Amino acid sequence: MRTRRHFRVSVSRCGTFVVATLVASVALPACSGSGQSGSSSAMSSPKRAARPSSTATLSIVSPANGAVVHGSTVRVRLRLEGARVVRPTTNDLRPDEGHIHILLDGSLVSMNYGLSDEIHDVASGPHLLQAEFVASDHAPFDPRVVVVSSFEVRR
Amino acid sequence: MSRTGRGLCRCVVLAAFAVAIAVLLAPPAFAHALLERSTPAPNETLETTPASLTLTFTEPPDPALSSVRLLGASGADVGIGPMHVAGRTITVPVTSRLTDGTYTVTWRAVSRTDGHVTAGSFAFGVGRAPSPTAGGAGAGTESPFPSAAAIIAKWLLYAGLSLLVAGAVVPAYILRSAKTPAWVVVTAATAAAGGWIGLVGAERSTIGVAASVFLSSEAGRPFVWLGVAVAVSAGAAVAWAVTAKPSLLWTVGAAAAAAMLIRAIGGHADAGSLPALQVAAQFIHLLAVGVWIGGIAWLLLLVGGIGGTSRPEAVRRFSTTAGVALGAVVVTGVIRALDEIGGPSRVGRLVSSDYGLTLSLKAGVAAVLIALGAWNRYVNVPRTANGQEGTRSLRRVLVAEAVLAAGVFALTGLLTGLPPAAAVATAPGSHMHEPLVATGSDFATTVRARVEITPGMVGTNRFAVRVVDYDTGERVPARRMSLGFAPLSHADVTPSTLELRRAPDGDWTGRGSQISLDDRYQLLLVVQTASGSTQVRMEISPRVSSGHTSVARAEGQPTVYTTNYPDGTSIQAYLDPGRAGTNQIHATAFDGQGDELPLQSISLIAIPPDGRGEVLQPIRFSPGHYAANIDTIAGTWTFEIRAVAKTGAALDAHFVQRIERSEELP
Repeated sequence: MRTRRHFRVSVSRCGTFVVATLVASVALPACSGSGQSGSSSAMSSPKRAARPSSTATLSIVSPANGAVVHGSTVRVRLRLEGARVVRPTTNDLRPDEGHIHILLDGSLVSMNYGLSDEIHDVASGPHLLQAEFVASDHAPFDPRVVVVSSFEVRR
Repeated sequence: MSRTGRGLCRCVVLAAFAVAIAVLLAPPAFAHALLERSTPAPNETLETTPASLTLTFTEPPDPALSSVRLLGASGADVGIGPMHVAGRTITVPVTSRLTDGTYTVTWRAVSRTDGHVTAGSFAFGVGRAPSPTAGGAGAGTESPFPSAAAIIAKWLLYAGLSLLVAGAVVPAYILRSAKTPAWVVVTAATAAAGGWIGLVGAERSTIGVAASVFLSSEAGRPFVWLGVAVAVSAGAAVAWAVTAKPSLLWTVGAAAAAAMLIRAIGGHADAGSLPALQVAAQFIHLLAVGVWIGGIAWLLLLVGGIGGTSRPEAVRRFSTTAGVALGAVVVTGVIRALDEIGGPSRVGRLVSSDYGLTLSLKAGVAAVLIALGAWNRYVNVPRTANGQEGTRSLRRVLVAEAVLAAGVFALTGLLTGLPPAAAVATAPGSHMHEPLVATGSDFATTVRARVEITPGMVGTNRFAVRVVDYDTGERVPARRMSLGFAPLSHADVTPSTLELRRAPDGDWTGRGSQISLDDRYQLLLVVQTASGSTQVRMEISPRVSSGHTSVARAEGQPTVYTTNYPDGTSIQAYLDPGRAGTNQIHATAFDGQGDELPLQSISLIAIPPDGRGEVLQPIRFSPGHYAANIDTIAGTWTFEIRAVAKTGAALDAHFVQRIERSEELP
């Protein structure tokens, strides 16, 4: 019995020694760092934060929902409140700055720096216009700032 | 179940969990600074003098010990500026104006991670294609085979450290020997110190610098710390031999364990994507080997001096301890081996690479060692209770174990000097072992064709074609074969043709630079037989070096794929809305500061579930942002983005996305 207890104590001491070195082995590599030097533009894999939300509200002034457009050119006018359209593309995102993406019947037709645009050669018939205010990196805000309008083209 | 049993169960569960994490999450290790990509690329033809040479390695090179030279066709040095190292990239400005001709870049890199040296060279042309005979024009990388001196030095180091680690615990607490022989401890410390000296000498000799230069470099820093740990252990060993203070023996063992930890940090383990886990596994591996094999040596030395009635118990205690240590060796050994060969799907590298073969041999010797240990445990240990005959038998097997253990240490010394199989297989030029393969059949399904393209990258490739009867699988007796190449998104580039020649083995082969663009290619194989000709169409995408892609998903948002490159640039892409029907793919390039990176060209390629790729018509929004419309069906799609920045850098990204039917979404 005494022999067994002494053996367990010995194994326990060994175990303590091993555990201590285990802790050191996990902690030390984490503290040692990558050892890399270089400019700030050198290799890094930045973690992407969750998509930002926006303070903006977007609405379609024309073509208004249910409007009839005569001719094959559709003039698009948008109203943006609480934010502004900017030119630069960057992943330094601000909730009140971004770009405009315009889709007609599900297809991207324009990506705009402004709040007005023209879509040419639109076929006669019903259409769905979608406009979205996206962030400066061209990806959507969360929740998305998107608005749609149904209209008809008659030639 | 007893407490000991429950504790053992918990250890087994934890170990299994650690193994699962390592297997499932750990990408391949990349020790040794192998050349990953360069600008100019090997065999590239430039119109004018490049502003600089850029070489990106799999490991950060030590700026003090690495070098790059530019040679003209005559072998004379061409003027270049001072080398700048940032992360894994060496940049060298070209200060001379290069006239038309072939130039060779020759480089040597010493990894800051493991201190190992690699070297290579490649050629590029100015004003014309590089000549294949220009001084070492292949994009080759050499990693010097470990010298005999280095292997012996490592053997002394590992053997000495193992004896010291085991010596702190085995004689006193496991065997409970009356006295731990001081001469053994001092000899082991001397061996470890001698091993360190020999190791530093071998490393500096391979690199070709003075020891002081090597030890003062970043690559040499781990060796300095190793030397400190070995010196502390040796000093404590001498002090213990003089004073016999038990605490000093603990210091000997702890310092030896610290030396093992430093070796683990400064080796291949620290080059993995989960370095903390791999370093921990490597350290535990070394420690457990020390307890196991070092303990075998101590048992061999002391078993005869243990009193008759205590001997069986002592041997049994050691056997139990060795069993636990052996379990740790096996678990951590599997973790490390899988990391070094590139994961469980790459077990073929165990026989296809120098590293893998050496590892397999080491595992085989270790298996014999384990078998001998089991023989001792279950046959000889019970017999020691019966008298001297059992002890003699035990000793004979222990001697055999010690000899095999010495062999394991020697193989370990060799193994730590070889580049891991995963690193070799991933660096450019090493894809010679894994050709790009395209297969197809003709419209009438009379023949099947298989084209192997080696290395399968933009530039010069070797093409091997096999054409067989569609039904019987017999080789088709062709009279003539040619392979046509048409880049799918460069309609302004005239398709090219390569005439193939019949090889002795019956395949048709050729060599050329028809894959000269970073684009998806349509291959047109024309097979002429006695009865007519047959055409087989296939598509391939040459291999490129791409960055690391992270994926961001959120409810109600398109999945955003961001590919980051070593130089800090990135491409962000997403598919919207990501369900069957009309979608848009957006791709935006950013520089290292997060601002838009202007592109000079971009190709957006969509590969649907049936595998026939489509080059999309990009819509340019701004210099670095492009989008395209695409009609999708439900299934798994692959999207490839091939862009070239205005700086000339190639940015390639791809992602795979499952597109659901519209009605399947909530």
